Amino acid sequence: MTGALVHLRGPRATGMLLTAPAAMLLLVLFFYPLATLFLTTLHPDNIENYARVVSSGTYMQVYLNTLRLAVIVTVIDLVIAYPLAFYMCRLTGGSRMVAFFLLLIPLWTSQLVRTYAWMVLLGRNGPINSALMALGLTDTPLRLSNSEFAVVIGMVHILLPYMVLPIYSSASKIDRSLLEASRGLGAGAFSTLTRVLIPLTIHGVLAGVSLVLVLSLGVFIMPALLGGGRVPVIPLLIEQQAGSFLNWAMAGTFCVILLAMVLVIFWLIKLSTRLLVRGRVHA
Amino acid sequence: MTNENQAVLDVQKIRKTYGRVEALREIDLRVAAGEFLTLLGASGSGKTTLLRIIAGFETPDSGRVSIRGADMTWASAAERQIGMVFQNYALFPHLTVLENVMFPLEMRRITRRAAADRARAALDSVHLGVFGDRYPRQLSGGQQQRVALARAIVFEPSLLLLDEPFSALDRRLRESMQQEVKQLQSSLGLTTIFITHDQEEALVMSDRIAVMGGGAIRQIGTPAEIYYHPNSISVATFVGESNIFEGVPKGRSFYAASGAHFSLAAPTDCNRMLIRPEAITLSRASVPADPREANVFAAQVLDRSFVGGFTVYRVRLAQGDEVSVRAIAREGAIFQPGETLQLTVAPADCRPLTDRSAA
Repeated sequence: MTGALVHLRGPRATGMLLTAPAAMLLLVLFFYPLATLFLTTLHPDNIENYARVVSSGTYMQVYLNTLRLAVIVTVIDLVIAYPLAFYMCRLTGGSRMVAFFLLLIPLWTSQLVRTYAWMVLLGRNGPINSALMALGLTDTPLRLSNSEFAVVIGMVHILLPYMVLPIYSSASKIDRSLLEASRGLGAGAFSTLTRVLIPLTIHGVLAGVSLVLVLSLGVFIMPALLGGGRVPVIPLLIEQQAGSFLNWAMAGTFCVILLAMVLVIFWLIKLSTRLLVRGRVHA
Repeated sequence: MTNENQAVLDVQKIRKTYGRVEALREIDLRVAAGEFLTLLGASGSGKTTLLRIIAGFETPDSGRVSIRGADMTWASAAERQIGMVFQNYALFPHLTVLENVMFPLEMRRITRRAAADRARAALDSVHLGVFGDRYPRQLSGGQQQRVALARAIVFEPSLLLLDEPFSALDRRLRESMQQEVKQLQSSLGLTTIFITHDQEEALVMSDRIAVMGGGAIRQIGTPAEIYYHPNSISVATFVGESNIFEGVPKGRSFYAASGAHFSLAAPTDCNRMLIRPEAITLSRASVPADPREANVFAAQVLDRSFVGGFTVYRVRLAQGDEVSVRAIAREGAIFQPGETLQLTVAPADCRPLTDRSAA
């Protein structure tokens, strides 16, 4: 080691050095604007915005709706991702690569492109409606797009990898002999799931849940393009205030309250982690 | 022990193939109540596949597995009442030692309190009573092994399966665990199937040994039968050290290919013969011997290795055969390479290998 590094030793110092560029980037590009925004909302001219938002039934309804949508998307993603992650653990070689590729493609394509793709698929004359009519399941095309249904489908799709990857990561560490031991000791499939699999993957599940929940609170494009104005969520309000009304202070107030919601969710998840995960703290 | 009605496990004509590989070909095996049977074989011999079929983790292509007279061929592992100790112990990392041992009891809907009492008793029987509140990761390999054992016996299974449980332990710990498991097994009268590739371990622990190779049971018998009367080269060389001679039998004589002549204790028509290295005596004195009581050869020491309690010599008979000899290493009675000695072996120790179908 040479120069400045001489004075910094040990894993802590190494960790600080390695994360320094990222930390600087976050500080300048993320923390600084956020702090500015926060201070703007606290300005005496703007401070009563908080009271306006909190006392407005309409705005609070939109917050609740945003949260409700996020919870629905998270639950659906969890139900899809959990078995999928275990299935991917059992794949080997080429088929595992293909599965990962399929899973990660959505992350590599622009959100806008994917949203338009869903608009086409779910459209009045789109392939899904055509297929349903060809099968005789419906006579007139269903209104699939411009609805909450479309928004949920789109969000479930883009956010699925964020649920699958952490669960896969914890599921892949489970020794298969543990499952055999569980069966051999008299546990049925359900007991093996609840007593062995879920406790051993709870870290991955909670990580996936926090990621998807928080990301879905901030999704803008899907509600904007697939919701057809029928799915009011906070990001739409923020865009409206900042983009159409040029009321940055109000947009900032919405942001800060949303951020507070996210922090509370994180805190709750951390709390539940402590309650749900035993045994690992003793390491 | 071979009473038909007492068989706890009855395996009939089990076959299993993976793709084109025949993992098991027509295995028949009966294990009597209270018996300690070892499946001994190298990796790929089929012993693990057989164990997994008995445990219910694999299904056979054909054949039948019965436990206590009930057909269990298609029963799930959970229904079979089999306790198993896995090679890597497979303890649940998120449960404490006590909770691990309680697990099979709770799966049997025994109340938590009764389960905890029985689990504590099982932990006491493996001398881990005070470790109940720890997590598996906080225990040593030997202790984890005991927890796995306690968990496998706590629900009084019909059958206990041990899958190479000692392979990860160091030699000394392995030996004490062998003794402990054997004691526990016989005091509880547990019918046990033990898997190992370690022939010494098999000889020490078993009531009977089934030597497996190529997906079949090559020979089954008591440790002494397997050791003294192996039926084939593969069994003879797998269990213990061996000198194998090929040649021509003639009544009570055996003419090795080199021309060396051995007297046998009984007539045979086998063309292969085994002499265990410890059955051979080397001496400096040349004692005239009756050929009916002893086979005597002149032999030259090629090299020797000192192994503590005994010395292994490699010697060459005057006829040319190379033979390995194991002699108790008394100080002062150590032979030098190059020395010419008298080699004696009793006719009863020249053992024909009866199974000509196997190599």
